[in-house]
Order: sequence, then structure tokens, then C-alpha cells
Amino acid sequence: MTDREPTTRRGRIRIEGFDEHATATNTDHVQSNRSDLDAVSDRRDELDRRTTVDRLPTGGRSTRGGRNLDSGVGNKTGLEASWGRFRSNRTALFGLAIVAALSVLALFARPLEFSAMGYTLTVQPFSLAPYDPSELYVGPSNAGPSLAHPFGTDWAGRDLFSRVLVGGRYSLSIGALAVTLALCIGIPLGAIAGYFGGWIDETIMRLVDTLYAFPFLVLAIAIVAILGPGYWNLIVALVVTGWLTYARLLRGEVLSIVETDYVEASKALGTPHRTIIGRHVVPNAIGPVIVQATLNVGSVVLAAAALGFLGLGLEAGTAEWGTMLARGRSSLLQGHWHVTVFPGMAIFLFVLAINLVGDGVTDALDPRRETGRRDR
Amino acid sequence: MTDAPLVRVEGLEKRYTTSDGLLERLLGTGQTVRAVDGVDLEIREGETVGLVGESGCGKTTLARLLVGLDEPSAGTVAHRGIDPSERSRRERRRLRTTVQYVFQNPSTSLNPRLPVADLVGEPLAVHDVVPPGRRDERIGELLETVGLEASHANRYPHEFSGGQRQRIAIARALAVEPELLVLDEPVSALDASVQARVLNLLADLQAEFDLSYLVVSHDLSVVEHVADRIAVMYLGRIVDCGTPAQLFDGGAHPYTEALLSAIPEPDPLWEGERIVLEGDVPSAIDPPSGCRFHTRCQKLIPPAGYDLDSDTTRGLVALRADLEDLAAGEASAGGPLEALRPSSAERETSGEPAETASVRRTYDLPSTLSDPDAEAELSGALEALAAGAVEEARSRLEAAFETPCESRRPELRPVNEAGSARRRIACHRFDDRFERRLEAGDDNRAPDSNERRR
Repeated sequence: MTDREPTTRRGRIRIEGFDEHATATNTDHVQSNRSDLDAVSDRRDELDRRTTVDRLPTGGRSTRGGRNLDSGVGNKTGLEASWGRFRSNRTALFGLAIVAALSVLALFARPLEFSAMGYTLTVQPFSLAPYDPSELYVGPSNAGPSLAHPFGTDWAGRDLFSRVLVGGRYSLSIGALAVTLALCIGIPLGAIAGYFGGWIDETIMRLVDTLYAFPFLVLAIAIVAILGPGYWNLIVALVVTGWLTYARLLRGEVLSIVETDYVEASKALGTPHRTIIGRHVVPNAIGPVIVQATLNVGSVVLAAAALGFLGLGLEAGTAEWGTMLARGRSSLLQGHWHVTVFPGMAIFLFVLAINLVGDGVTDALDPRRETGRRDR
Repeated sequence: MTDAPLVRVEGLEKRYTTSDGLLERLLGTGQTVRAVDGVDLEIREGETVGLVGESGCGKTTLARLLVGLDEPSAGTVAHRGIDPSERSRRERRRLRTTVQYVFQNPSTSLNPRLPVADLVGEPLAVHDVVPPGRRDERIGELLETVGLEASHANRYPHEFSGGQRQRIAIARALAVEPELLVLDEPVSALDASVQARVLNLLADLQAEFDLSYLVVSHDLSVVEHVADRIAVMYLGRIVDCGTPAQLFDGGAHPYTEALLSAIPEPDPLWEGERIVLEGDVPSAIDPPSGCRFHTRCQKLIPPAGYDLDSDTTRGLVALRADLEDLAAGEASAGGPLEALRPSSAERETSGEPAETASVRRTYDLPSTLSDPDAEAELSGALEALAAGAVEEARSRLEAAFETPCESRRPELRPVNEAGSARRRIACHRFDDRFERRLEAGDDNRAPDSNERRR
């Protein structure tokens, strides 16, 4: 620079010949550069170190690496990372174990057979329950727990242990079916309402508001009263009252997801609305709904039991936990405690376990918990 | 290059209404924001057009209209002479592939739950560009085109750096083989070394696929580097349009000059003039009359019949605008009245009435205007103001000093410069009818900018 005079000329100082290759190796290992082998290997090392700590052999790393292997937190899909977080949560695993155990007990309580056109196909031949749950007078009526009848017998001499085991089939399947069907209604409606907005949103959400105006149980009772008792009618009642929460929850989430750039980007690509909803909007908005649904399985089972207790669930005499409680009320007054305690315990255990699982799912789906768990 | 432009925008307008809710809609009390207000623009094949302007001037809205993310309120966007809004839905979707959009922030424009293969594969599947069997192969090709590796396809966006993510976003846009890429602040979210690399990539891609770009940015140095032509927007209108060399050569719209003067210069000996615009961008709900820039313009055209310089005109217009606010009863407009209460020291020194002298000082007006007729009008108005007659002062000023900048909307007209048929400026200064009123030597910037271009 010979010219030391102040000047109004711009651009006397500038960078000539920006060397992309040199800067790629020096400043930014992560930046890929195909032509430079060193840069590529460097970058790979860097990437591997950065993102795949949890997949290293446990021997060479410190305990931190080992723990990461356990929790499975890292660069995998959101689902796998969530499962890793869930697995590290002991109470949630405990709950899941109880749910699994109850399901297995219910499944293997009596043989499953399907009869059609004279043929009988036995799907599941095991029978854990010692007696047929509806067989009368397999023992004395209202007998207390004994070796022959671990949970005692009810007023008609039916074996309570068998009835509680088989009753799990009703309660668990009602819980699972009602929640699944409610999700099948709530998720599409909520997503459509939130995504399209306008009068579609107004229509769906006003319908939700209207149904929300009724207390949950009262509405379910009204529906059962109209349709009459029965397994499927009970599920219909629980679905009609259950989808509202999911629709409202999902709509709220969708409203924020629709604003994001990646949804806009998809629109700019010309992706059809249904693909955008299915691929981009719902998967990113579904988290809270999953949590709510898991927790709701418990309350649905409780509601089914409550309806059963009110005599509005399944037909009297069915081995469903709530119905059994209702029938046991008179026996309880006579001092036969075991008739209500065991079905009640079963309901309690299942709902508790589901709530533990639900809490675990809440934590697992919340990525903000990730660091906290890893550092523990 | 063919004669038909790739994209031709004519009279494009986008209005947003602030009324939400049934009641406001029924009463019609909502206000209209004119985000884009009559824009004409052409983008030719293989051309890079830069779109610059302050925040809120409608750059992004214009870009979104081009891609079809928003529907225009008026005007047309024609692709090779075809207006998509007249076509069927299916045809529209096909036309959509000719223009693609790259977002500012690559970390939000990629769905975090999908691997790169799905992200890049989405446009391929939607538009059926490549049969399903060959899709993986094509995804690998695209990734390599933008400087990534085919093996990156099963990774997730969060495993990449910012620059790499922007490359993925570009690969995604390229998947449908577009002719025009609209880049909305493509490198603003990246750090400087990565910015350069992404810009180089864009230049390579342009050479390889003969792409056109519309680069939306507020970073003039980026736009100057990449653009063949720059369009400057102010409050929803394009006020200046030309090649970077033409813009930097001086003789540009006053707003462009102000923008250019704001580019940081690393030269410690540089003593260029820094034009500081006063005030904020006016609201697009109630834009200024005439030239929208006149409220902040440093080079207003003097009122007809008087011989005044730009600074004086500026002061007169500012004084009148404040008086107008005052007359309308706006609380914030206390300027002229405060100026009417001079300190006691000023009272003693000044010969003429202290109040009016103080007002003149506040608005940078000389104690005696160079033109005697103008001086007579001004002192008359100031006396009225000192006497408390705000409305009278205002109307006197309005009658006497009206610049064409306020009353007439300047058209975006070609400016005849040697060898530049496409240089267009929307400013009365470049209109022959007003030219004679400008003093000579008013707009001479140092003509050295040619050397600055690479």
C-alpha cells in the first residue's frame, strides 16, 4: 500500500482467491469435500466421535460411554432415542412389566377357540385359570380364600381367581380398543382442523366443545342408556367421549407445526396436503397425544369399571372387573370382603401400572430430558 | 437467452388485512397492509437477480408470491408467458416445479424426524420425477451434486453442520429440476467461511444446470457478489433496478445510495460518506403519499418556483409533517412546540424572535432562506406557529412548499445511460420534467466503483 492518503474509494482491501479446499481442512472438519481425501477421513472421524459414542465397544471407553450404550441416547431416530430414555426409567419399566404380566395372564387364562362351520380352531390351548369363570357352584358360595380357591368364591359359588384372570380380557381389551379407536377418530380430525383452519377448524372444534360440555361419565352413561349394555356398545360410549381430548390436543400442536419452515418448504415443493399432514405434521405433533393416550388407557378402564359398577357396562354376571365389583356390593355388606377386594386390586394394579408407563412415555418423548438423564 | 423471460411479474400486489374476527370483518374496521404494492420484475434464463431492502419492505412476501406459497391479491406471475392461476390444479402443480424455494434457516426448514433420503426423496416421489426403483440412486447423485456424499442419505438433519444442512435444502430444491431457485437469505444463518462456500456452490450449480436465481437478502455485499442485476425494494415497491456496477456507479435512487453507504468497509483510510436515514420505515398500513421514500429522503426535489437546496427542502418537509401530526392531535408530535420554548440564553443572543429561530435550528433551516420569496413564506408560517395557530402554519407551508416527491408517485422508468437499457429507477430526480430544478453537482459520487467490481 503506497497510498496513505484518506480516500473515499471502496474495495482497496479485499480477499483474493478464497481457497475452499484449504479452509475445508483447516477450519471445518465436518464440512464435506469430496476431492480431498484427508478432509473426508478427518470429517468422518469427527462425525463418528461426535455422534456415535454410544456405539463404541464398551471396553475402551469410560463408564460414561457404557452408560450411553445403556440409555441408547444419540444420533438414532427420535423413536429409538425415546426407547432408550424409556428403558433407563425403572418405574416405567416396572409398570410395563405389570401391564405385560396382566396381559399374559388374561390371554392364557382360558383357551381361545374360534368355531366356524362346525370346525373348532384352538388358537391358544393353555388354561391358567383352574375353573370356568361362569361355571356355578364349583365351591361353596361366598367362601373365603383357600388353597382350592385362592381368591375365594362369590355368591353363586364361582371361582373368583378364575374370574379375575379372565376378567382381565375384558378390561384390558376395552382399554386398548377404546383408546385405539378414539385415536383413529381424534388424530385425523385434530390434524385436519389444525392444518386447514378456517371453517373446517371451526366446525370440528365447536363439535368438540359441545361434547366437552357434558361431563365425561354422564355422556358415556347417556350413550350406553341409548344403545343398551354390551361389550361393543360400551366401547362406542368410551370412544365417543374419548376422542375429544386427542383432537383438541393434536390441533393445538398442529397449529404450531404448520407455522414451521419445513411445512412451508414441503408446500413449496408442491407436496399434496395429505402427504404433508401424514409425513411432516402429524409425526412431529403426535408426542403429547401419545402420552395422553397412554395415561388414558387407565382412565378408560376405570370408566368401564365405573359403568360396570353402575350396572351399565357388560351384562350382569360377566367376569369383568367393574361388573364383579357391582355384584360384590351386597356380599360386602354381609362381610365377605374378598369378593370385592380382588377385582378391585386388579383394577388398581392395572391403572397404576398404566400410569407409570404413561409417565415414562412422557419423559421419553421429551427430548429436553435427554441431557439430564445422560449426566445422571 | 431467449426473449421471453423465465418469470415475468406484473403489477403484483399482496395485501394483508389486520381484521380478524367476525365483528371486525362485519364492521370493516380492519386495516390493510400493502406488503407488496405493484411490483414489476423480470427474471431471465441463467440470470441472478438480487432483491434487497430493509426488513419489512416486502422482499420475503414477493419471494413467496413467486413460488406460489401465497396467492397474490392482484397482478400476475407468469412462467414463460404462462400464468399458473389460469391453469388447472394439476398443471399448476407441474408448473410449480419450475420455481423452487430455499429457506433462510436450514435447521428449521428440514423436518428433524426424517432422514436425508426421505427429505430429498420427497419431491422425487411427489412429482414422480424418477421411477421408484431409481430413486435411491438419484438421491445419491443429488447429494453429490451439492457436495455431500451418497452415504449421508440415511443420516438425520441434526447430524449435519449448518452449511451441510443448507446443501441438503438445496439438493431438495434441485430434485425437481427447477429453472429458477428463489433463495430467501440463503446464507444469513451461516457463518462467514461457510457462507462463501455455499455461495460458490450456488455459482457452480448455476453454471452446471443453467439455473436462474432470485437472491433475497439484506446483505448487500452478498448480493453484489452473486447478482447480475439488483432490485432495491422500499415499502412494497421496487425503487431501483440495475446491475451492481450501475448501482455502485452513483446516480442511483437516494435510498440505494443510503443502503450502499452502509456497507462496512475494511479499509482504515476509507472516508466515504455515511448516509444515515432518519426515522423508521413508515407503516405499510398508511404509506406516505407520492414517493414513499420522501419522508426520509436526503435529496428531495425543491418546491416549484423556489431556488432551494435539498437540505432546506428536507427541513421544510419534516417541519410540515410534524405540524400535520400536531394538528391531527398525536401526542408524540411535540417537536415544533418544544422548539418554541427556547432557553433564556438563546433569547438574549438572537436578533429575531427567539421562538422562530429555535424552530429553524431544530429543522436545520438557515436563519434566512436563500430565496427571498421562500423566506417570506416561511417566516409568515413561523410567526403563525409562534402565535399558536398550528393549522394556519401548516396550510401556509403546504400551499407554499410542495415538492413533487410528496404529491406524485414516481414510476419505475428506464434511465438512459450509455449501454444500460435495463437500468430503471423510481425517482423524480431521474425524470426529465424535474431535472432542471436540481442543482448541478448534487449527486456526484466518486466514480470509482467500476474498479470495485471483481
